Amino acid sequence: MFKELDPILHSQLRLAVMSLLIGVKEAEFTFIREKTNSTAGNLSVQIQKLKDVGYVDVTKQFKDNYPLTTCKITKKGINAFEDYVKALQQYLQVKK
Amino acid sequence: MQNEKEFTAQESLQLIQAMINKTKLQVAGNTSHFLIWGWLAFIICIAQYILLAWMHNEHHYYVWIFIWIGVFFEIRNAIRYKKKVKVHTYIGDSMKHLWTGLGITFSVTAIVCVTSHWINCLPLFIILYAVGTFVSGCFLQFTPLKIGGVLCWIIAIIAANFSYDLQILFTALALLVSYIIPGHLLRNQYQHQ
Repeated sequence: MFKELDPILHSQLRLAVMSLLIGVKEAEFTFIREKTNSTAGNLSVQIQKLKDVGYVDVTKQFKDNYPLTTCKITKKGINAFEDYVKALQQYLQVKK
Repeated sequence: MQNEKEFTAQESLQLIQAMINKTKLQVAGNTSHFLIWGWLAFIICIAQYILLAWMHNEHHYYVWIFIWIGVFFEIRNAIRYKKKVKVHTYIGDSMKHLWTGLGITFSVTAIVCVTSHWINCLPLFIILYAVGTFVSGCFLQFTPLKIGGVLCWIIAIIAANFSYDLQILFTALALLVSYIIPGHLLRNQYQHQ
């Protein structure tokens, strides 16, 4: 029986964000935007969705008078990501 | 990057791998210090050897005052890096703590060595190079640094059997294999990606 793929993570940009955050302690919004080649508007919406389900923490502050948004993956996000990868591996093994 | 585009399990895994690769080099944090300290200490060692062995200058050790150039560059780089860094990694933080600890250990060892007339102190410094570069190599999964660390341990054992002037040359050799060569290889890898 297949585990259903998490619909929150099974989206290209959200998965890209989670894959970036899984390897770092925290990352600035601009860093994520550069690495995912996404627009600021689209990225904001997708990060908000990840935040709503508790997969990422978003901190907004000011640095040198400019707004600074920092994202960090949560424990719940790490578990969801690991489950997603396991489900993908299971799916690909059966397909072989 | 599109968001709601349908994609297969295979594409999902490829995307995950691509994103993880993009952050891979960010984990290294600021790696320029291998080159700054490596070249600076290497040049100082060679200068000290020339002063001691060829010119027989009794104040040969004064050249080490130039090591403060490294401290200046390190502080300047740390300030610049702090301003431009957009991502923090666990490995980057671990590297920072490792090298801060080692920096303090280098200074304390130097103070202890002054009181013990520098007998076998240079091999001790080489051992410290080994610890720093080997552990950094393990953090970064970068084999040239690990090899550099292992070579330093071997060089330290050999250097302990020679006179002080030759120990200076062994120190230069240790810096070459543990800081300079791996530092340039690491920089090349960073630039190619």
